[in-house]
Amino acid sequence: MPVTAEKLSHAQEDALQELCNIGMGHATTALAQLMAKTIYFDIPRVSQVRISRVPEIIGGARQVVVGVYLRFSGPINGNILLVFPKKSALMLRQIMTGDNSKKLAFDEYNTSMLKEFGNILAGSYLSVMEGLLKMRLVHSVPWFAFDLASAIVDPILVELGKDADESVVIEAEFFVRETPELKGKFYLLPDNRSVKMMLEAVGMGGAG
Amino acid sequence: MKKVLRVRISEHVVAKDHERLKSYGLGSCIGLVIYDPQKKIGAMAHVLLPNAAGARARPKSAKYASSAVNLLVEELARAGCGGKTLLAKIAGGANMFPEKFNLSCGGPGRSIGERNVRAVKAALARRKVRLVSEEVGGECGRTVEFNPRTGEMIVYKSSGEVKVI
Repeated sequence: MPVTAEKLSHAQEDALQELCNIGMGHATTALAQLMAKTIYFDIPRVSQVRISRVPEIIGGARQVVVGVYLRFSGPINGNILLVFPKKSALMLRQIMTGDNSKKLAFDEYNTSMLKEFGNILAGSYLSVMEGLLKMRLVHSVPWFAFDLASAIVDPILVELGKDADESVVIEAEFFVRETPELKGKFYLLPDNRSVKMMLEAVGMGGAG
Repeated sequence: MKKVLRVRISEHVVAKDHERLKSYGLGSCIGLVIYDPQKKIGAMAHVLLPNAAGARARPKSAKYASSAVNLLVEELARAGCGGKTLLAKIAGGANMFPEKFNLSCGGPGRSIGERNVRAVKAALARRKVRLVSEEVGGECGRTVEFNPRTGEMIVYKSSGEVKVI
């Protein structure tokens, strides 16, 4: 039988939210240095949903978006996905390279830049997790896709769906205040068993 | 008035008359339709994985290729559709992150999308359901809509291309 995750208590949700808060704080600081712009992020949201509902959380099939995906592994395993509206992904290029051309294609240069953005964000986020959870984590290279959000999330649901029907989704929106169109969303989807380990590592295991 | 019935991941739905079956944003997932062209009844499953890993699997689920085919054939039988007249159409099975799976990048060589397509085809062959058309593979997301009255499956690709299979 698939692992039926125990319902998270409010205190456990708060703990996961705070972990994300600290991780995002660190990661956006690292990105701000790269972009010479302050990056803000909204209070993270934690939800526990059926896997079939995850595509709607990520953005459904209404429009094509940019997705940068990484897997991380170690004592805990999971997925990090960044989702950018198309316009934001292109603005990111302008900001990071000074290239103001309106060309909308994602060429190799553009995609590697977005992947590097994901690499830095995920790397600094995970280094904070390593410190807080007292464990070593490694992450994959970033993978790029430009497609429907619900199609992009499929490979992640494949990983999560192998041994569970539910998933914990931790999300945080990040943005540049002086350029409101420049925004994206960070998603952390830990494998089912890892959620428990993350909570135990911060003393929030058990019944909460 | 047509009525659209949504089929989410791991779900399956039976439709007839003015009903349509729709799965949004298939990536590596498969939109599997089995239908009876005479009775004009069809069923769609949104398949996530090729097969269940070990004993943890729930046997009766549209989540896996083989159990999805069995499930749809049984549901259609309950709706009065005979086994021999059943036909199948499939769409999806794309490789959303080509670099993740390519051998040259250290991937396993065969994407989960390809494995899903193979598993669905094998399961259809086992149940002797004839696959009449398919729109699978590639690196492009798809939304599919099936009309049980006409047997037509409309495939909306994220590239903007629309195909009727």
